[in-house]
Amino acid sequence: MATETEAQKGLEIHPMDQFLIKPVLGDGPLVWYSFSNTAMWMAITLVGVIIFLVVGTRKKSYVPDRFQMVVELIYGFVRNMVQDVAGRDALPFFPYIMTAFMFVIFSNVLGLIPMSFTPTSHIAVTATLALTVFISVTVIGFVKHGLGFLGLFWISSAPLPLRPVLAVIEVMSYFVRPISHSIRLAGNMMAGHAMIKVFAAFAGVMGLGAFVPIIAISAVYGLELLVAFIQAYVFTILTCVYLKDALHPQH
Amino acid sequence: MAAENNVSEQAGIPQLEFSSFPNQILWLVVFLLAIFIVVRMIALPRIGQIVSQREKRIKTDLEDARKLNEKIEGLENSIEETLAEAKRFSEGKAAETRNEILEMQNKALEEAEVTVKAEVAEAEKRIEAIQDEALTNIRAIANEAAVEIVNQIVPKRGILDEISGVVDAKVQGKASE
Repeated sequence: MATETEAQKGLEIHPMDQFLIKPVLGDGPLVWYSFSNTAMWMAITLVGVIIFLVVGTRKKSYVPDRFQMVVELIYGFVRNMVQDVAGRDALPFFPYIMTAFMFVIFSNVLGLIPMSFTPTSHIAVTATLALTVFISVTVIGFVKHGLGFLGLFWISSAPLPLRPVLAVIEVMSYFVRPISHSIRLAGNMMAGHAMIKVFAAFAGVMGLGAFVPIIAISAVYGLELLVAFIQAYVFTILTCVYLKDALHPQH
Repeated sequence: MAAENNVSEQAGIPQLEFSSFPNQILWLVVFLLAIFIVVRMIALPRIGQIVSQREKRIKTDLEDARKLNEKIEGLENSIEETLAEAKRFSEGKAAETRNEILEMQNKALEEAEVTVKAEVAEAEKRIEAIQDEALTNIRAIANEAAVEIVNQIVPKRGILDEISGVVDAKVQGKASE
């Protein structure tokens, strides 16, 4: 009966419904302080980070178990990334970068659980993160170098007549950074989830032929898992690159 | 289901629903700060401590191993020196003992030679004495035999003395040859 109804209605796909932000507690409209589904999944992200970082290192072993080894691996990975990309003098900013990395990676991966929600698929979240990075590195650049930070836009290795033109391009590219930084992450997260939802809708109406979209969902899910890690890495390494420009603006 | 569809139709692109931005930004700031506190106050100091203590332990262990290795090398050198010294000592001692034995052997040989020479000389003297004594006896026997023979053949006294003189002369001549 239900199948007949579906057939009568035709194929209706709502891949964007999964991104709707709704209050979790109560039936009222969404207001700025409502405990929404995005807030709930950010809270779950926080719990995940606590379990990973705090519980994983509770034994403080010289010879680490598997869990502690993974935690130390991630710690070393992010620390080396900061040091290699932005230099040793960027290490004081390591906790901020580690925070961003943990938030993004846990949001991305937890968002792959069926029926869950991905906060990083929303431009508001990623733009806030990217703007925080943008404003922070700009302030750090001016605090460390004063007006010398503007040397970032003046490419002294280029021929003199070209320098003003390049300076305009550099300034534009600098201000585009937070946009590309945020849209890249949100876009990747949104696209993968929407695609999975579209395939799932196909599976719902294809009867026995559903195995084709199910196989496709499995393949895309694997790809999305990879994308979740890669996008967290890309977001973090770009943060390090921007920080490096703030600490060493000379070309 | 119909209500859900209505929501969907109203939704459009939820990411561009600006009315939800304050809510998202509020909770993002709250939970990002919470994660930062966990990372900054608990996780990083703890992991940093574990890693630095491990590095310190590894460094100490490596240093201890290096010292022990040096000690072992020193002991090996000392053992080799002692062995070389013992070898030199034993070789010296062996050479000394060999020389002593050779000296003793030579001395014994010399003593034996002297003794043998003395005994040979004495034996020669004894042989000479025995020879002289034998010769003396032969002369007397020959003299008596000649006298007897002559007495049997010629009973004249004066010839006997002459014969006796000839025999003595012959016997002496033979002895001197």
